[in-house]
Amino acid sequence: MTEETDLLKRIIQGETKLFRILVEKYKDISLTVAYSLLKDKEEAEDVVQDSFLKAFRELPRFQFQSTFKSWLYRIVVNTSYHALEKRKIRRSYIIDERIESGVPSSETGYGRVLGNERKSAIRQVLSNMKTNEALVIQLYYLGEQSLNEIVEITGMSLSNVKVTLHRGRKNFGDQLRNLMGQELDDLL
Amino acid sequence: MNEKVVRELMKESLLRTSEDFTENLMERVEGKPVTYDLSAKVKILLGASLMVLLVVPLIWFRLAATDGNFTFHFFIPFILFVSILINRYMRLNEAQQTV
Repeated sequence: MTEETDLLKRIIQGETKLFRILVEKYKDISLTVAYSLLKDKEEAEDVVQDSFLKAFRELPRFQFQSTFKSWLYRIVVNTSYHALEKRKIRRSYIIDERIESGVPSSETGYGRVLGNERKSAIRQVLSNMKTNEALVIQLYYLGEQSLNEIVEITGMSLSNVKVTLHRGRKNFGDQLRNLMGQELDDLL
Repeated sequence: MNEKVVRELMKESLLRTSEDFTENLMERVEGKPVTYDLSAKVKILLGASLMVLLVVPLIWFRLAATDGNFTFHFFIPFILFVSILINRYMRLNEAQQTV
């Protein structure tokens, strides 16, 4: 029995305070995944809160057939899609507001928040990528999910995940190279 | 771009939640009492519904008593009316809980 399985069983048996450990472990990656879909940090944080709550309530039904991490990310992705559906109309209004105010959309994302040039460049690239590509590469590299786990989380086919991952990695590299130039070549 | 570089770069894309994220979540998880602050509008609606629930049946009953056909003039409409009110109340309650 892994440490995490043991922890999950203890939470299910009533030691609810231990849920905090899982929250601390997965909250940041969950937020990043939700953000890749929603492009709004505040909303992404609300979605992640709701996702953790759903996971907590459904924990007694967790079958241990996948890892808790995969299961949680699936909830995060589904909840994010649900939130996207709800605010489709509002989203176009927000974009219009940005255009009217003259604020470039990249500056309303988290690139502005951190002030670190490389981080800003990376996040700007991710913001500009296709949603599916950004989501798949973040689940793969950040979330350390296998291809089959990504299939479970996103509902995409295995071949689609492979193609999306390949394209996402290529686009990520190309766009980052355009932005960072020499600094990226020094890294490689 | 090789896998290792992508992985390292992706780590820099990691967002951080706000400071009180975990505390807020754990309060909800541990079921600390959440107080529902019903708006004035909702209170008026509920109050009015209760008033109607008490007054209307009395009027109906009085009217029904004039021709003696209680089933048609009173009981059936009353049951329908109460069902509608209960349904509305439950929907309102559900909407408040999801906020």
